[in-house]
This record gives sequence, structure tokens and C-alpha cells, in this order.
Amino acid sequence: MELMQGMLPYLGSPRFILLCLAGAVAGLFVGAIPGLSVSMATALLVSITYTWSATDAMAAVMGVYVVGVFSGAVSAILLNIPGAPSSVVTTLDGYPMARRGEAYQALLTATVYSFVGSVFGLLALGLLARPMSAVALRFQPMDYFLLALFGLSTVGGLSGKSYARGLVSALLGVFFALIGLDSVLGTPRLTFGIQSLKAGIPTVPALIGLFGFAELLCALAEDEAETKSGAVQKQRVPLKTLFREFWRSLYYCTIGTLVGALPGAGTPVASVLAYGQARRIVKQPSRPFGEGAVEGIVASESANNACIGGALIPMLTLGVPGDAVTAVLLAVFTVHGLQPGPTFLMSGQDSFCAILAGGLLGSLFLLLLGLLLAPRISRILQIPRRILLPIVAVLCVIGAYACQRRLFDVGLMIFFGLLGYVLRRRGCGVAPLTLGLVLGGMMDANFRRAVSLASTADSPLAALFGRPITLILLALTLVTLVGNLPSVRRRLSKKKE
Amino acid sequence: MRQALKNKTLQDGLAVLLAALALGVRSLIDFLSTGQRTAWILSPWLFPMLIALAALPLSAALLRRGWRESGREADAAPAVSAPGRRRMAALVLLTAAYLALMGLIRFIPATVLYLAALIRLLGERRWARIAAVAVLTPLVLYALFALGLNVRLP
Repeated sequence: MELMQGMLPYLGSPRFILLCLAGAVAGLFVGAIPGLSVSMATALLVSITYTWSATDAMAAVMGVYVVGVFSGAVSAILLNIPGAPSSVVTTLDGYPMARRGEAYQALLTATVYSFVGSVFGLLALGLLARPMSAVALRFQPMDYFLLALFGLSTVGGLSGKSYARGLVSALLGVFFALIGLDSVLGTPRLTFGIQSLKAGIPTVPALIGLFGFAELLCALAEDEAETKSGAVQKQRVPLKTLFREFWRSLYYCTIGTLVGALPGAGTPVASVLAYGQARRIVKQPSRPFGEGAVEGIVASESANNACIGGALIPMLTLGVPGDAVTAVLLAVFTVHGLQPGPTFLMSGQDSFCAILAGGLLGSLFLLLLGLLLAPRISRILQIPRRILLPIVAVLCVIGAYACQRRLFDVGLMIFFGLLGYVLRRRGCGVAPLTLGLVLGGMMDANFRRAVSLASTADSPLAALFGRPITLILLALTLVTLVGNLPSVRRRLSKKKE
Repeated sequence: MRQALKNKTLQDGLAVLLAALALGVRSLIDFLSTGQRTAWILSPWLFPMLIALAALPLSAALLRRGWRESGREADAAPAVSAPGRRRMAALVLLTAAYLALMGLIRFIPATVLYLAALIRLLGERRWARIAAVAVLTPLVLYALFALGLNVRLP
């Protein structure tokens, strides 16, 4: 009630609403264009909003953040290029739907469930900020390592036909994540003498290569590539069909919010975990997962947008950013003299209300822009492929270059494009590799930190695994790994029959 | 044996095994050399060694499956036609050339040439259309990125 009263002045302020709308439009734009990321847009906003008041800045930033996370799905569905790592899972079912001429339904589903996820996450932020930060505080390095390992063990199944191939792809991703200066000692590792690799493999060029450039190669490999053009039909999607997954989406939202609240885990883990759960609990999907199941989009989009509220919890209450965007948001706060931390909810109540109001308005704009622009944006598929593919190729190059303004990154993008093509041809899938790439650094640092801390304890094994949270995560990982062994799967399917 | 090696799963298993061995040996050598200076727990090569170790059972699983499947092609992707391979090679080469050109003649002229070549390669025959897309696209992108978003392009 107190929060509602605090939000009302912002929700009724035309200036606040307009700034949030401007941010939302910018978010739609940066999220939908491959290579432009929400964190990049938020970083640009730091310099633009420098002279603004803190609440004005919050309005614009929250608009960009909420709509930007959603609109990564637009390029994921239409071009098979995820705007951000969080949209990787959306490509798995979104793009096959678009190729079948169901782009409109895919975008509509992504819009509605992103809205559901955003509102859920923000409500959770308002109601559970204090108790959830207490749980997140209990996570120790081994828990983070196991959480990431659990994510990778579930992502192994994303490659479809072979779990082992999926895990190989994930390990390859972890390997690439280890390239660069070691985070603990600062010594170069696996850089093969290449100076530019010392900073590590940048995620955005790798993502663009794995999804965008590899897709171009796949399209060119097809003989009918010159003549095929994506036909988009505006579909009538009955509300009953659209909301069939509503109750399940709340489960995915819960996963997203919880994962978001863990510093460092972020939206990719949330969407992967939710997708893994969807594969487990949806017994009769509209189509097999990975071939255009609308249930896959629901899981991915509701979880990654619910992460927004979750990621803000540790940022506001502990001063620890939950993901890359909240790390930039922390900079925005500092610029405006705000100090997130344990006392923020008491001393910065006004700013907290402004953030919540901005987030809720951003969610509303997400729905409006998504519903109004989705059918228009999907017309992009009607452009003949012989025109569209070269333009996408240029976007891939600019996207890879724009992050760090290095031509070397464009070379990396081409390398990852070729790698992505080979992996697809071999049935390994690129989604596990992407997750390995995103989580590998965090796994390495937390594992070594955990072992280092345990080595000083009387009983190292108990120090590593003697806590309930750790044991639960370990059990979940082992169950996933064992459950995917071919012999176990055969036995389970025999039992079902 | 030769017949068995034609199996893709077996090939993948071998590739994973070789990669794991290479990474494992390389990491072990560096691990032992850095171990003298730092505690083994903090060695940057500890985690790569674990990755190599984790890859071994996966390669064994692939090799076992490949051996069982030998003589038949399981889940083989359809072969790419010769024109398809040519188009793919052209895309990679043109993009590499584009990358080199951007450093020399800047973004807009390089993009015009790249787009024109690629659109033509993909089968567009109308030069007016090629020219329109090749010229307008870089201008719009330049306005969007360089002027709108302050992203400096080469």
C-alpha cells in the first residue's frame, strides 16, 4: 500500500510517462537490432541523462531496460539472431515458427508473456526485495558454480538429438570463456600469443557469429536460397490459445525472478532453466521443442523478463548487480548521487518507487509497442532473401564491430559463424555453446574461490558440499546428468510404455 | 576400420578425444610450471584441466555410439551441393575482403561494394535494384549508428 502511494505521483506525471515512453521506443529499437545491446543503450544513457534529475533518468532507463530485454526476441524470432544472450533460447522455437509463416503468432506470444514476466518480476521486487536478498546473500561460490553447472547440464538437452553432443558444445563454450587474462592471477591463458585475445572472447561478436552469420551460411547452403522468401500471414490467434500457457508461465516467472536475484546468474540462465522445465512439464507441446513449440517461447520470454525485477533486488538491496544491465544501472545511480545497498529501501524510498513505476510503465509500453508493431516488424520477412541476407550480413559486421570498435571482433564473428555452421551440421547445436561461453568465466572464478576457501577449513569436503543449498543444486545436477544417460532414458521410456 | 571411420559420430568422438588430450596436456604442463609459484588451487590451468577431464567420458560415449553405428549413417545432414558450397565460400571471402576494405576505404564505400557483390551473387539481376539497396543501406545504417547512437564506424 505504501509502495502504491509512493508510485502514484510518478504514474500520473506526464513528464515521467513521456520519458519512459521515449526509453521504451529506444529499447525496442536497440533490442531488435542485432549487435545493439540493452547494456550498451543503458551505458549511452549514462552520458545523456547526466544533467537530468534522478527520477527522469530512472523513467528513461527503466523504459529501455524492460522493452530492450523483450525486443531481443524480435530479432531472435525473425532473423535467428538473438539480440541478447537471454533471447538465445527464444531462437530455438521462435525462428522455426517464423520460417513456417507463424512469425506473427511467435511475436505475439513473446510480447504477451514478456509483459507477464516483467510485471511478475516487478511485483516480486516490490513485495519480496527484503526476504529474497537474505536468501541470495547465503549463496556461496560453490553454489554459484553448481548453479551454472546445473544450467549447462540442462542446456545439453537443447541440441535435440544427442545429449552428449549438447554437452560437448557446452564444454566448447566454457573453453572459449576461459580464453584471456585469468580473473584471479591476471596471467594470460589460452591466448595462443594473440594480443587481442587477452581481453577474452567478447560475447556479442561470438553470439552474432554463432546465430547470425552461421544462419547466413546455412541459408546459402540451400539451393533454393535465391528464390525463397518468407511469407508472413497475419494470423488470428484466439485469446484462449494465447493464454493457454498462462498458469505455467507463472512458474517460469518464479524461476526467472529467483535466478535474477542471484548476482551474476542473469537472464540466460533463467531462460535456459525455464526452457528445461518446460520440456519436462509440457507433455504435449504444440510441436516438438526446438521445432517451433510455442510453449518454448512462453518459457524463455516469461523467465527472462521476470529476471528484470529479480536482478534489481540484489542491486538495490546489496549494491551487487544481478546482470550486465544492472551493473550499468548502478553507474546511473552513482552519477545521480544514489547509493544502493542495505539501507537504500529506507533512505531511497522515493527512488525505489520511481524504479517500480518506471518498470510498470515500461511493461505497459512493451505490451502496446509489441502488439502494435509486431505485425509490422514481421513484414521484414517479406523482403526477398537475396536482398535481406546481404543486409543481415552487414548488420552482423556492424554489430560485431560496434561493441568495442575493433575490426578484430569482426574476424571473431566470422570464426564463430563458421564454427556455428559446423556445429549445426554435426547436430551439436549452438545454444549450449553460447551458455557455456556466458557462464564459463563465472564457473571458473567461483570454483577456484570455493576450493580455495575450503582448503583452509578443517573438513574441506564438508566446507564445499555441507550446506543444504549446495546439496540441492548438486542433486539437481546429478539427476539431470544421470537422467540423460542413454541406458536410463531407455529404461524410463520403457516404464512409460 | 576404414568403414567405421566414415561414421560421423565416431569422427566427432575422435575429434573431442584429441581436443581434450591437447587441452589436458597443455594445461598440465602450464599447471605444473605455475604450481611452483602459486598454490595449485589458484592456478589458472586448474579449470581447463577439469574441462579436458570432463570431455573424456563424452568422447568415450560418442566413440562407443559411433562404433556401434559403424557402417550406417545415423542422423547425417544432407550433403551441400557444389553451388551451395561456392556461395558459402564466397560469403566468407567477401566478408573477409569487406573487413580489410573497411580499414582502407572506410565504412560507406566498402559497404556499397560488399552489398552489391553479395546481392549479385545471390541472384539479383536488376542493376538498378542492386544499386539502390547497396547505396541506401549503408547511408541509413551510418545515420542510425554513427549519428543516432554515437557508434563510431570505421
